[in-house]
Formats: sequence, structure tokens, C-alpha cells
Amino acid sequence: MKKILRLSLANIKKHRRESILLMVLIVFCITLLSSSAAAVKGVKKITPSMVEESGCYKNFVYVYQESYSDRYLAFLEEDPRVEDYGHTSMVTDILKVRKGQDATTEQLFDISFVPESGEEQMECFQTDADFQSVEHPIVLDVTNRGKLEIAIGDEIVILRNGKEFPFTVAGFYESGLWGYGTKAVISEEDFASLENYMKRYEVIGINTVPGTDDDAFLNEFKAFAQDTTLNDLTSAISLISYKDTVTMNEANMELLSIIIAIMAGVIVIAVMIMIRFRIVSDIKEQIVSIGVLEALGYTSGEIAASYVAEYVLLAIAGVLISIFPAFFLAKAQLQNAANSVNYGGSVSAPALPILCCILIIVLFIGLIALTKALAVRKYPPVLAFRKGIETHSFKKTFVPLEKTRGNVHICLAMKEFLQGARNQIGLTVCIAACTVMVLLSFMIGIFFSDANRILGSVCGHEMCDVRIEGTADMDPEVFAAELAGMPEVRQVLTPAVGLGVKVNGIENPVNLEVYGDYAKTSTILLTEGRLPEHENEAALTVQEKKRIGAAVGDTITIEYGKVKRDYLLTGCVNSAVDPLTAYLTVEGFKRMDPGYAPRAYDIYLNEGVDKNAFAEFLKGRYGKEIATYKEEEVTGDTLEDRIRNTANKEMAKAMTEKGVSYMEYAIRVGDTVITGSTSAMKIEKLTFVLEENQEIAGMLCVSFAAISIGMMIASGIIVILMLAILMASTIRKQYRELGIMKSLGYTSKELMFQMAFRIIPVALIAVVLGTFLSIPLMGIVGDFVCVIEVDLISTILVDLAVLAFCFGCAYFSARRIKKISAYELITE
Amino acid sequence: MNAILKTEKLCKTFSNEGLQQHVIKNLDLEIMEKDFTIIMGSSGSGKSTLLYALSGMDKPSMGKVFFNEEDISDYSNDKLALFRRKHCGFVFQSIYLLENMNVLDNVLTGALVARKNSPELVARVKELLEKVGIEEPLWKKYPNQLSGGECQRVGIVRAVVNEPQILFADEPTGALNSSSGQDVLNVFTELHKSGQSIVMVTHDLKTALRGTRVLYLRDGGIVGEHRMPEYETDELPKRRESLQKFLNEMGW
Repeated sequence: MKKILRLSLANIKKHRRESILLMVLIVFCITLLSSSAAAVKGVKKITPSMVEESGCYKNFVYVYQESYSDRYLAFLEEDPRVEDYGHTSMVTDILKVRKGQDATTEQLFDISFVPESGEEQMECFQTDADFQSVEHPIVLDVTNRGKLEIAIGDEIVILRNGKEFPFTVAGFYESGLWGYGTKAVISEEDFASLENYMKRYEVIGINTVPGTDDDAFLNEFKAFAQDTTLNDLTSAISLISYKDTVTMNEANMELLSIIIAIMAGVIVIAVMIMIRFRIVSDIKEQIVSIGVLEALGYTSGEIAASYVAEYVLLAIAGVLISIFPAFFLAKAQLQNAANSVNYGGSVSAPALPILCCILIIVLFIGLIALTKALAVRKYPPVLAFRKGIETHSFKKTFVPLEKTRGNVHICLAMKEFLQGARNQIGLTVCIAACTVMVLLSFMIGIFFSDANRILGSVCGHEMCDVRIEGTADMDPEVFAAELAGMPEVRQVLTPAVGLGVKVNGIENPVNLEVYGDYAKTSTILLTEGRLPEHENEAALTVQEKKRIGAAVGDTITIEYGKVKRDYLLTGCVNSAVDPLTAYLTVEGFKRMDPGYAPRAYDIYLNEGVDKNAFAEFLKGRYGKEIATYKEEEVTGDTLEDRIRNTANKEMAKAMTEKGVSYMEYAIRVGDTVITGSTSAMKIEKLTFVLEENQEIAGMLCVSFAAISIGMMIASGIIVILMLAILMASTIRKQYRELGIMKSLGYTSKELMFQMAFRIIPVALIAVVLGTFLSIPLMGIVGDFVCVIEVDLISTILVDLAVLAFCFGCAYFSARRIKKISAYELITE
Repeated sequence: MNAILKTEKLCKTFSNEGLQQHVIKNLDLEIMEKDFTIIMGSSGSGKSTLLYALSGMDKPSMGKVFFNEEDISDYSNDKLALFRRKHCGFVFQSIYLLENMNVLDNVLTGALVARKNSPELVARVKELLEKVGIEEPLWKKYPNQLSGGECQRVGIVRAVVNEPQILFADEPTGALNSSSGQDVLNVFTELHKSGQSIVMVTHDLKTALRGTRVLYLRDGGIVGEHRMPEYETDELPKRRESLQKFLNEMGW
């Protein structure tokens, strides 16, 4: 054993540089693979820990306030499968949050507000906040402390369409599954104020007895709710089962670890190729020494074992270096996963997956080394002295120089490549894998580099600048035409808001978009067929089409409430924000809901128009938002002003609380009669849709850019290390030949070019292979994120860049030729 | 005759684990055009080192090497490669054919570095091969399928294919048997007769007889020089006697 180790160590010492490079690859491989395995295992504990530590409910039902009924709770009370349940209210919206008066700290948040009592209903409210200690107290998820850089006592201001809601941070809480991260707990009074401005939901948390199928139970619950009303509850009730939450959380949390594991997989292939290549080079280079060793009495098994030991020693050295980084990286991945679901508890990396990965990698390296090292058995001493049999078995002369007319360096490079083509399969696989990584990350990176493009692609259509949700007493066509006639306006569309339907009887509801004339919706991104034109036609998103297994031209059944109608599927739309969406014409939807009339107006402004100024103009002409009238303190310079403001406030209350669609008033003050009506209050809600989503998209861009750059850098490092080892081994193997070439007058640069050019055919095949592999993978990305159009020119440019990078790396790695004189090479 | 190569205070020192070994010391030398210069000396006297320094294969530690009055001692490695490509040919003791190429490709690899491929070039290569006795059936053979003498003759063709101004040979018959050695030496003699300048290192008397000028090297310096008439077979005993006498004086 000692003598085997001595041989191994001598070989490592002799080829120190290559050994170090290979060890670096092994370190990367172990660190990335074992840490991602540990992280994937570790994330499975996070969601159960969130439930256990917060005592929150596992299953949740969200119901629009207007669709809620106490009968739902009675259903839960009576059902034996229900172990426990709780009920509260929440309001939610995408809002800007500012720290104090510092405008530079404004950030956009998807935020939900719950009253203190409601939070206590749903989970153990783990906070030391004192609600009585400050005015307008707000208690935030503990993870926001860092994100917003806030402390107890700080003032934060919630902004909604210019209206400010100041709060004082009273403390932080650690949340369970319900509304983690985005939930803010406020006082009952503040909640009552905010619910005038935002969408209110009733939230029911449910724990079922062990063994219950939560999904089936929740669907039964929804069916019961639907049976109690004639209204359609498809989109009014959202069900989130514990199983769904766990699946979704784990999918989100595991994403980064899976990307890292894929990179590690590529490195494993690279390590395998390098070991095989190095052993072949070593045997060729040391064949005479092998003969000498055999003549001295070493068995071929011992010599083979010395090669295996060499790589196992390198692997063990790699393990020693990478074990702590692996734990550290696993912990970092788990912490990142925990942060992504706003879990504030402690996370720890499990040791077993790390140790298993290490063991597997070391065994794998040993096995690969063994399969190649056994080649020494083919060389008895005499044969080894004659430099093996390889040099005696030439079969074919590739690229005979006699017949070539091109560049001699390219011809010589091709000659060398073809002679060793069989050994290039591994390198091809590795470069192909790197190409896939680079192409995917480039395409995703480029796609996500432009927030507006994402918004278009992700949402399925261009976003409007201003959306008005009108009051009930309006003629949609007249109002839309009036808006469209304004000089600032490029286009007005009337979308359906908050509608949901079932397609082909599948239980999970899909969103419904309804437009009168799709010819005007040129901004909808159609990927196949056409948008509906007639009342019996429908379009679906790509993902929904896949989900139901339909094709353009098929008949699909759409169900709204209790009404089902058949439609002809005419086309597909690319949308990731609402990947499950159906598109109907107004007339088409009226087949299911004859009373339908749009209430939302999406306004697209001409370039250069200030949206804020335009919004103020709209408010001046059509009145402020209803909630503003309702909440505003009654003020005014004159009695008439105060009377009008009071009347407006009362009308707004009647409209929002009693569902009144039209009111008039006439008040006589002395000889003056003050009159008015709700006709001047046309705006229920006004939002800057594009601006809000641009900020969210901006954040998305940063995340995806980071992932893309990370993947590209990782691919680059793999290629650099791999080609550095490959070139070093090749130079070593062809030391004498290079010396001869130098003596013939070939310059270092020409020889470097020849060596680098040898990998071009390999890289070319690999790049083409990688490109073809990327296409189905891009499809998978499309299924999960959104359909990213593959641009042929960009793809070719990326492929060329990969080729150039491979060539550059190989050329640079071959620079060692420069340092050695022809004389040294020959006398080596 | 003009001096094609000239050295001034040429030194070559090797360093090994801190120990300096001065192999060539302040050597002044001229190599004449169309001369067949033989460098002799005992083992370790620096013969091969001098040859490689003269040929631009290696850089001198100090001093200068002039080729046709041009100082090549400060050339970069790539410039030296271009210099070798243009002006020099090499024949090595270990032959150094490229093992993975057949005879024709070995010669063409040397030829194509300096000129473009053409049917004329291929024809010339074939003609040269035939001239040294390497006939067509051998052209597609690989080095390990040839005898040592055949390999060395291929090596000579590769060295002269670009019509170098000077041909360097480092003990070209050292690895060959007597018969093959003579064949190879005949090729050198023919080349010299055609006007080729040759510098050859050898420790073999029979080989040295082919030269016109014999330099004797000891401890890194030229200690003796012997000029001989052009090589003629019928004068061999006379030449051998004069050379033997010179070498005896040198203590060989």
C-alpha cells in the first residue's frame, strides 16, 4: 500500500498544476452538489416548522367580503373532519410604503392588513408589540425589519393614489403560513379606515383531523358555498390546502438549489472527462516508466491502483477543503429559502445528504479512475518499453497534407482532432451542457432585462397606464368612447375584472378576460391562432391549453356559476402572471351572464403624457374616488362647500355600504337650493397599473439577472478549468511533438492556435447539440415562468460566443508552450 | 567564403538547484558559408549546447550570435522560430519524426510552415525523398514502420525541404548502425557538394571525415581547428590520418 501511495504522490507532485486544477473542479463539484442536496432535504422541514412554531391553521379559504356568509362557518362547525377553525377579515392591495418622510425610501409592496383580533384568531401572535403605546400602531413580519431597515418607533407611511396613511411601528411578529411576509397587523380602528380603500376578504383557517384529504374537503366546502347562492363564486372563493402550500413553498425554495445541483452535475461530467483524459495521457507519457516498474516487480494491478489512489487522494483533499464550504453554502441556501417564505426561525443544514454526496463522489471518482487505469494491464514490460501497441496500429491517415490546400495550422489541428476524435465524446457532452446553461441563462437574462417586455409577456398584454373602475351608474360604451376621445389617450379597453370560470369541468378555476372587440387589443400577445371574434369563440393561455389538453380548433366547455356553454378554441396567449386565463368576447360571455357590463376602463396614454396630471384631470372631471369622499373630513370655505362635501360623503357611504347605484339630493338653505347627484362620482377606484407592475417587474429583473449572471459565470468557470486541465495534459502528452514543431520553425502562437483550434470541431458539435437541447428546456421554462421567444439571431450569436470563449480559453491555457524553448522541449 | 554565422563572447550557463554550470564560455567563432563544419569534443564539452545556441534553438546566456551579420541573440522565441523557419534546417540524433504522421506528412509539416501547399511542392518533396532512397511505397508508412536509417533520411529531407541557408545536424548517425550511418552521411556529402552549408556535431571519426573544417571543443571553448580538403573517396586514408593526428593533438 505504501509503495502505491508513493507512486501516486510522486505523480501528483510531478503534475502539480493539473492536479490543483482538477482538485478545484472536485471542490466545486462536492461543494455545489452536497450543499444543494442538503438544502433540498432541509427545505422540507421549513413549512412544517412554520406551522408548528406559529400555531397557525394549515388550510385557508379566502372569500370576497360580499360573497361571505356565516353559513360557511356553520358548515365547518358540523363537519366531523374539521378539528378546528378560525375566521377573520383582511384587506389587501399593492401599495407604496415609505419610511417616515424620506421619499427615497418608497418601495412597492403587495401588502395585507389584518386587525389585531383577527391575527390572534388565526395564529399565535408572536410579538411583544404594545398596541396602546402609539397612535396608528402597525406590527410587521420580522423579516421586514431588515428589508425596510426599520425599528420599533419608526414611522412608516402607506401611500395609495396620493393618500397617505401614517403608522408607527409598534413591533414585529413571527408568522406562520398565513400571509407570511406581506401581512401587517393594525388596530381595529385603522383596519376600519383602510377597508374603505381596499379589497376586503374574509379569511377562514381550517385544521382537519389527521387522515383527511384536505383538497377534497375544501372542494366540498366550496361546492356547499356555491349551493347557498345564485351568484358565481368561482373566483370569489380561493382555496389553499396545506398540501398546496407545502408543494408551492418547496418548489420556490428548491429552485435555487436545483439550479446549483444542475451546475454541479455539469462539473461531475467535467471531472469524469478530465480524469479519463489525464489517465490516458499519463499512461501514454509514462509508458516506459510503467515498463520499468513492471520489470522491477510491480504488478499491473499495483500500478493501476496507484492511478486510482492518485485521484482518490485528490478527491479526499477536495473533500477536506470543501466540507466546510458545503455546510456553509447549504446553510446559506436554506437561509435564502427560509427568507423566501419569510420564515424567521433557525435553519440548519442536515449532515447526512452532504456526507452521502461526498461518499458517492469519491467512489465515483475512484471507479472512473479504475476503469481507465486498468489499461496498464495491456502493457507487459517489453511492450511498454516499445511504447505500447498504440503506435504500431495506425489505421488511417486523416487530413493528408499532400491533398490539403488551406491553412496549414488548421489542417494540422484537424489532423490531431480526428486522430483523437473518439476521446472527445466526454468533452462534447460537457461543452454541450455548458452551452445549455449559457443559452438558457442568456435567453432568460435578456428576456428579464427589460421590465416592459416582461410585463407584456408575463401579463399577456401591454399594461395600461391608468385603470378606472367605474361606478354602477354608467354606460360603459359611452364612457369608454368619451375617454378614448381625449387627446392624451391612445386607446381605451374595457376589461373584465375579477371574473373566474371553469374550463372543461376541471375544478381549479381560471381567470376570465372579456373584451368587446379583440381587434382593438393589439397588445395581447398571441402565440397561436387568433383571438375570439364571435360569441361562440374563446382563446386560452398556453398553460391552460396544455392543462386541459386541448388544441386550437377543439370545442371547450366553459362554466360560469351554474351555466355551461361550449366555445370553439381559436387561439393561445402567452401570459405568466395569469397563466390560467380564458378569453371571451362580451357577447360570448353574455351567453352565460346576460346582464354583464364592464366596469373597468384601461386607459393607454400617448407618449409623453404625465399620468399623474392626467389622473388629476380625470378626478376633476369625473370626481374623486368613492373612498376618498367617504373618508375625507368635511371641510370647505363656505357653507355650500361644506354641505356639498357632507352630501358627497353620505352618497359615497350609501354606494359602498348599501350598493346604491344612483342618488340625488336637494337641500334648501334660505333661498338657495343646493342640488347634486352621484353622476359626478364616476370613479370607484383609480390605479396606475403600469407603474405598480413596473416596479414589481424591476425587482423580478434583478433576481433573474442575478441568476443568469451566476449561471453564466459558473459555466464559464467550468469551461475554463476543464480546458486548462485538458490543455495542460495535451501539452504534457505532446511535449516532444511540440518541440519538434518548434524546431521546424512553428512559433508558439501558431502552435497555441493549432492546439486551441483542435477543440473547435468538438465545441461546434457540442454547441449545436446544446442548442437543440435548450429548445425543449426552454419549453419547460415556458411552462413554469412564461413562454420566452427564442430569437434565432441571438441564439446563433450566443453559440458563436460560446465557441469563441472555448477557443479563447483553450488558446490562453495553451500559453505554457510559450515558456518552453524548442531546445527544452526536445531534450525533455 | 563569407561567415554565415558568427559568435562574440558566447556564453551558455545552466542553473541547477542554485549551482551554475558554465557550458559555453566566451566563445568566439565563425562558420563559413558552404562549409561543412564539424564540431567535435569529448562528452560534456558543450557540443550540442553550442549547436543549439548557434541555430537559434536556444538563447545564449551572454554574448552574441550573428547570422549574416544580423544579431539573433536578442530575438524573442517566436522571432527565433521565424528565423529557423526561414534560414535553418535540423537533423537530430534521435531523429524526432512526428510519430503520428506518415513519411509524406512529416516532410510536408516542415515544408508547409514556410510556404503554401502546391502540387510543385509535393512533387519536390517526393523527388527529395526518392533522392535519399525513400521510394513511394514508404511514403505512407509511419516512422515506427521504417528502419532507423530510413527515418533519418526522412529527417534530412524534412530539414532541407525549405532550402535552408544552413543545415544543423546533431550526431545524425549516433542512433544508426554502420550501414545506415554511411547512407545518411552520403546524403550529407551530396548536400554539401550542392552548396549546402552544414554544421554537424559528432564524436565519430568516420562522420567527421566528411567535413571540410573540424572544430574541437573542450570545457566550453574552441581549443583547436583543422581544415580538410573537399571529401573524395580516394583521399580517405590521407584525410583520416590528418584528422587523427589533429584529434590526437587535442587529446581525443
